[in-house]
Amino acid sequence: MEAGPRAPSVAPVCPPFAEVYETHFDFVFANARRLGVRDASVDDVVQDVFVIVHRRLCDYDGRTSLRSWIFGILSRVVRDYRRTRRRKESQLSPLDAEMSNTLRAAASGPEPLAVAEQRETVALLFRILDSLDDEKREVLILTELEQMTMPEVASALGINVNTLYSRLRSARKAFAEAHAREKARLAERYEPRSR
Amino acid sequence: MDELDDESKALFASGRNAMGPSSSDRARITALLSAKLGSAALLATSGVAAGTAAKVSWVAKSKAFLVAHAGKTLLATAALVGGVSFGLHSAVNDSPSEARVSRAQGDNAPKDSTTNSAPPEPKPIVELPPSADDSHTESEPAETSSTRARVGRARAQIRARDVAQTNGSQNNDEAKEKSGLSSELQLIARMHAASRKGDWAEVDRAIKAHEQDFPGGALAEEREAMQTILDCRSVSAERASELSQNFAKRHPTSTYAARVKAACTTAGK
Repeated sequence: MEAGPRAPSVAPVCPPFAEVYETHFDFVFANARRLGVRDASVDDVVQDVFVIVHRRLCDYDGRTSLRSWIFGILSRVVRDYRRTRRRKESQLSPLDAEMSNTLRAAASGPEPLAVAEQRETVALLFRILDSLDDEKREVLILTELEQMTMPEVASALGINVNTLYSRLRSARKAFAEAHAREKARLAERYEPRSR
Repeated sequence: MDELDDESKALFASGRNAMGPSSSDRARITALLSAKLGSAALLATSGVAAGTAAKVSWVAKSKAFLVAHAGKTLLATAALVGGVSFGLHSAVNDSPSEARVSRAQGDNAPKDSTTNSAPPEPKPIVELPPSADDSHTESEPAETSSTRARVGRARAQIRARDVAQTNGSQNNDEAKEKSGLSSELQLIARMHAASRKGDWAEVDRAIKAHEQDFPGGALAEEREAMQTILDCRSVSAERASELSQNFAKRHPTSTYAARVKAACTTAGK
């Protein structure tokens, strides 16, 4: 078979990778963790994301924000990771324990009680998020935690704005339900037992 | 739209600053990524001081070597390269100054080598990084010298040793998972190497191999783009246009949509 015609070669103008890495490293790392990547795998996931960014950077055309473009890549890598994780779930430590370690390591200061409360609150948030499906978790992370604009979220997720609103509505509903379940579970655990 | 209740809003507010990386997370990942991409400039521009990077065990060895052998001006940019040089020094008996000069020249380039803007051929959708694996592929940059190839081999050895050290407690399955993306990249690179040569049968084989091994892989979009371009070659102009539109619908934000459209517009019979 003969080679097909080729598009004209135009030297691409690529954003400098090191700058993109520096600007978005925290974003990728934090959101990999928020999307449910465990401590043992977060290094690999973050590296994989930046390896892909490195390759595609010259194809980035600026139609979407760089942040939402990178989130699209992160989302795909994390989904891949989660599929793998499900296959060997038994080898992993419970998320709660891991989350506590992470937050404990990050916490410092003279108010241990406040720090402990904050840690519990954050652990509760991510426990609830972890119980949601991928689509709902992603939309809540981008809107409520990253506080991106609706068009930015829509482009990060590759959906139109109307679909996004619908997905956000159902994600908020699912979050509220999961939150209620968590509260009930905690109340049951700490309720004084009367004999 | 249904709003979150106040309690849920407070929960999200508390999580906004959580889960960020520590400085050691950043240093560790930056060092590993630099090894993977062969980009020492990443260490310098990301503000990873040599002392911080030294927390990563093999980078610590690099630093000691650099302090002993290199000028101060190279220290900030080449903690990683030091690791490569260190490995080379014992592994392939290379000259450390040669390795340093080679990397320093790379650092002074306007971009790192994978984003080189003046390749003689049209740019493939995906190119392999100038890592150790490159010595076996066709997408190796023209400026690659034998020293660079040796640096690549040593880098691979160091990387393998590092993986073995940091994941000693994990089983072989874990190691296989880690190589998933690089295997995907190899297949994608194979597709593009074949397409540059006009070997469309080989492109087809690589696509099928990727589809079989990584049906929902991180680079599935690249595969679909290449599949669409391949399909467009054997159909009518009308059908080619349809295929290109279908690709754009499936991947509305794809950076490849324009390339697929261009290829299908010219490829249809």
